[in-house]
Formats: sequence, structure tokens, C-alpha cells
Amino acid sequence: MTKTIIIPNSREMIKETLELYDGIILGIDGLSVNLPFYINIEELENYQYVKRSNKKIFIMLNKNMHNKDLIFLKKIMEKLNQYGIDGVFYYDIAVLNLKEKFNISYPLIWSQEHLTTNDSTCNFWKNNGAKGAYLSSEITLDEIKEIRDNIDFTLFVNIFGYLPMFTSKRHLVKNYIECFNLKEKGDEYYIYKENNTYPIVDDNLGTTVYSGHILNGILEYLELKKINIDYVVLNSFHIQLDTFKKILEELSHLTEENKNNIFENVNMLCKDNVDKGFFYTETVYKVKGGNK
Amino acid sequence: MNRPELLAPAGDLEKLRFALLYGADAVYVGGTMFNLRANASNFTLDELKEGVSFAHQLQKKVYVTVNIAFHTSELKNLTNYLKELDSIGIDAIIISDPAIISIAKEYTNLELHLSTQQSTLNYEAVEFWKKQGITRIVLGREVSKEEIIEIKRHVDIEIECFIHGAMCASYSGRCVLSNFLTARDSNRGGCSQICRWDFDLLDKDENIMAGEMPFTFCTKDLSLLRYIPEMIDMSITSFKIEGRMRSIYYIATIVYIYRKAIDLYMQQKESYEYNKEYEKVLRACANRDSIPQFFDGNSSLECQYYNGRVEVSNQDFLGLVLGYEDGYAIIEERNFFKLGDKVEFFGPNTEVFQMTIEKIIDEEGKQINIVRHPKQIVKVEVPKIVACNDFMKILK
Repeated sequence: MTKTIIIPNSREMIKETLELYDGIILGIDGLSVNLPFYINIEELENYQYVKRSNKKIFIMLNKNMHNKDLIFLKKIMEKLNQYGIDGVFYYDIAVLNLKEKFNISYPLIWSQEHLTTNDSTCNFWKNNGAKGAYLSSEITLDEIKEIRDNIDFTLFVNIFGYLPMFTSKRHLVKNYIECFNLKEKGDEYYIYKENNTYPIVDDNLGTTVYSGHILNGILEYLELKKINIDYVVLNSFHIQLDTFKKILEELSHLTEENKNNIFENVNMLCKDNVDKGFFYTETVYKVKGGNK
Repeated sequence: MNRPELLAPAGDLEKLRFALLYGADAVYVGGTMFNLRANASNFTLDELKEGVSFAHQLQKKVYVTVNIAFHTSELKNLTNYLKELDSIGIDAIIISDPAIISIAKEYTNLELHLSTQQSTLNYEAVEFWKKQGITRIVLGREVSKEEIIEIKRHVDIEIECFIHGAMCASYSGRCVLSNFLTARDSNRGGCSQICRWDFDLLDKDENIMAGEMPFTFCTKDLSLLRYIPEMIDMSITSFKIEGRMRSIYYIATIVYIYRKAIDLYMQQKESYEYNKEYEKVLRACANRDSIPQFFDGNSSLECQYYNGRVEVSNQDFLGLVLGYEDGYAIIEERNFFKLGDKVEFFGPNTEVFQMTIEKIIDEEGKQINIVRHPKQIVKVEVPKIVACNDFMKILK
């Protein structure tokens, strides 16, 4: 049965929406990127109520790791053993290599964001110890189905939220402000081009830019259920608690019969700033000279 | 002290020849399938055969990029393509997607290099890839000098580092701006360089943060000319130049300068001195500033480029030498030149010299003052012997 996982944007949200999800994804300060907030590992103690409610806790360790990160990464990976977490998502291959060296009991999930695009690479990581893959948001629904058909692997698919589309080590906002001697205006910024506005976050580890529209994959959720996708993920980045809670409530009573109403309700809650991502949009890939 | 490989980009057969003739030890090229420069001319299998034959005659190497993030349907054609590359005698393929590893191992003897698209920045990841049979790692461009040294101390494997050219603003592989803004897949060769676009930066109330120039992701280019001695001492296997879409003049010039710097240090380590003239030549050739970027640990404002998109195309390259005849260079025009212009000739086997153009003869034997037609062939009187494939450039 397909489970609903959320990426919360506050500690309060974890509690407030407890009855509406099957699990959460949390990031660890210093080792995770592209998440709305990060916790210290000791804080995991505070979320034992999530486990007691039979919900899952996944940890996202998706930073591009440098040598200097490795000692902290080892420490965190070993400590995570104590907390009974349900899995760790990895981007950097160091995570997988370290798992082989230590007695790590939790499963690893391949999560290279935009690179998780085919079944054979899922198979490669499966053969190397991973237990699942968090699929790219830049593949179509048909491609997701094809991957599901071709491999027995736990799969995670994004169905809702602003999506990260750029991750850099550079401090692009801070640099711009510094360059032109501008006054800092908090930590919420956007970039604007041709009637589209994209959230941009510049924090300690660099800069992330998010999509301009919110992915609304409510209708596709039903399709994903039919093909036994293991987990769908809803990202609450930049969505207010009340709104996100209402969206989860809508989702909780989604059926084939009411799907169009629910879809419209979610659109409305998102002020119509929504799209279907790449579920039905194939991106162009054509090498010049291909017909030579 | 090991002699590093100087690895140059080649977008087509002509660029391959120039890169190798001007001193590259190896070139990397894209085939007509599965490479990240969809807009370069790229090589058919026949062209690859010709390129490999040319390179191997010079005891040099050709690597082929097969570095897209594959979608499931594309994998069907991969095995045959790899077999064909193997049969041509390609020296290695540069991969990003590890799905290729098992196919390459089962069906070919191809050597496997790991692309910078994997953003490999630490020794644990390098160790993993070595266990998978990867023989060379192209490190992510975010690594510093100290980090490379530490990686090399932990894992004995060939390391390839970029030394010159454009940089991604993001971690390689972690940018899909092209996908979202132009429906072109950046991880499958369709990057439309959104990072060079101008944007407005807004605060939370959606007021414009108005700097003197628009907001952009644009980074300065990379140049590690100053660090060549240290990089040689660090035993980095391969020094890589970026730019498969660049011109023959750009590639030849960049390769020529780095070749000189590397050879000079290899020959005279004790007396080697940094040559500012080389730096000037590199700067003149590019349309953006270049700095060491992350290599010296910098990630500050200096790495960025807020210039309002003033990128002037380089017009220094005046003509390509096609031959030499009785005191005259036979030249194919590439940019306008005229009598009185001060120019410089250089080539793989031609000592650099400078002169003022005093006599030009057209194809009908008439003396002319100006050469203004693209690819017009003329004779220019020269005081020294020049050779086919030398360049004539303007002196500023």
C-alpha cells in the first residue's frame, strides 16, 4: 500500500499533522540540503512520539560531502543506529561507502535528486546495498511506471510541493547583496523572470533555487497507488502550516470518485500557482549530428 | 615527478586535430549519442575512427563522453553503442551514470572514467568508485587543493582536475533550471545556460533588490595557470580544459599556453617562474574573467560575475595559415585585417614572432590593402617561415 511521507517545514508541523501522514523526512544540520529546516541529531529523541504512533522517520543526508564532512558524517551515521530510524537518503556516495565499513542497521535509499532516472541505475545501487530510490521529479509518469515494472525496489515519488531545481556551494544571494552594498532583508528571497517568481534560499551550505510553481500530483497519486509505488512525498517548503494541513486532509479522503474535486480544492489552496511538473512533459534531448 | 596529461576538448574533428597538434596529450569528444553537449557538432562513428587513428599515430589518446543521466528507454541502445566505441579503439569513456559500468564490463574492454557530473569531492566516494572498476575520477570543481591532496593520500587512483574554462554555478548534476525554464534536459545534453541569464532579485515583499546590475548566477571562468607547478607536484594525472563548443583558435591557444607552462616546469623545476605573459594570452582569448575558483578555497564574491551580460566575442584570430611559399604566408581570413596591422604568428612548431603587415596579395595576384571577406585566401609577406595550421592574431 502506498504510504504518504511529508517533508515538514517546522517542528510544529510534525506534531500538528501527525494523524495525516505515514512518515516524515528530516534533515541533519550540516549534512542535509534543500530542506525547509534542519535538526541536531539529539533532537531525534523529541520525535519518538512519531515512532510510537507507528509513523516512519527518514533522514536525508543529501549534502555533497567534502573530506572535512566525513568525520561528522561517520559520527551521525553511527548515532542514527540508536534511534530506530527507517532509512537514510543519500546523494553523496560516501554515505554508501561508510555503511559498508560500519555496522549500520537502517536501510539506505538512493536519492541523487535529478539523476535517479532509470531502472538499471536503481539496479546498480540495489546490488550495492541500497534498498530503495527516491525518483527524480524530471521524469514522466510513464517512465515512473516503467521503472516500477522493471525492478523490485522501494520507490519514493514526489507528488506535491515546490521542487529544488538548483543547488550550489556558492552564496549567490549574499554575494549579490555584498557586491552592490545592499541592505539584507531577512532570509526570504525570490528571483523573477518573465512573470515567474522562484524562491531562492542562501544558507550556510550554499544556495538552492526552487520551482516557481507547486507540483500538484493529486490525480497522479491515484495512478501511483495502482502501480504500487511505495511512498509518495509531499514537500511543505514555503507552504503555511494551515494550508499544508488542509491539503493533507484533502488527500486523506481522496478517491477515484472525488478526485477532480480534491484536485481543484488543492489548486485553490495553492492559489492556483500549480502545475503538473514533468509527469506529462518530456524534456528535449537531441544530440546535434545524431542523424549523420 | 610524473608528467601530467594535458586533456583538451574537441567538439569536432578539426578541433581534435588542432588540440593534439598544439600540444594536448589527449582529447575528450562526444559521440552522436548520450553526451552532455548536444549542441556541439559531435562525432559520428566514422569521424571517431578517423580521430582515433589521427591521435594514435601521434601516441595520443581519445576519450568519449557517455555522460548523460539515462532515462530507461535510452538504455536499450547503449550496449551496441559501447561495443562500437570499443571496436574503434577508444581509450576510455567518461561516464556519469553507473548503469553503464556493468554493461561496459560485460560487453567491452573499455576503460571507465567517472565524470565530474557525479560531483565526487571526498575520498570515501573515490574509494567506492575504485572498487567498482573506475580507473579515473574527474573530481568535482568544488574541491580545494588541500582536499585533492587528502584524496590522493587515501586512495591510489588516477585523478583528473579541470584547470581552465567555464564553471557550472551549481554542483554539476544538481541543476535542472533548463528543464524547468526551457524544457531542455540539462543532464542529457540540453543545458540552455540559464545561469547566464539576468534575473531580478526580490525580497519577501516582492520588492526588487536593485543592484547596479541584474542578479545572475553567472560565475567567472576557472584558470589554474598559476597553480600548474603545485598540481604537477601533487601528481594529478590529468589536467583538463573545458570547452567542447569553443573555436579552434581558443582551444589551440589555451592548449599551447598550458603545454608551455607544463613543459617549462618539468624541464626546469628549480628555476621555473610564473610567466605573466601566458596569463595575458589566456585572458585575451576568453570572453570572461578567470580565477582559481574553489581550488584555493575561495567561494566569495570574487567568484561571481555581475557584468550586465557584456561578453565581447574575441576577434583576435585574424587568419589560419594554410601554407608557406617564397616569403609569403598563405592565409585563410577569419577576422578583418589590413595593411599596417601589428600581428603575431604562432604554431605548434613555429617560434612566436611579431610583425607589421606590409604586403597582402589576393588570389588573383593583385596587391590589396584590406582583407574583409570570411575565409578569403590571401598571401601575406612574412619575415620568417610559417607552417600550415599556424595562427595569425592581432597584437593589441
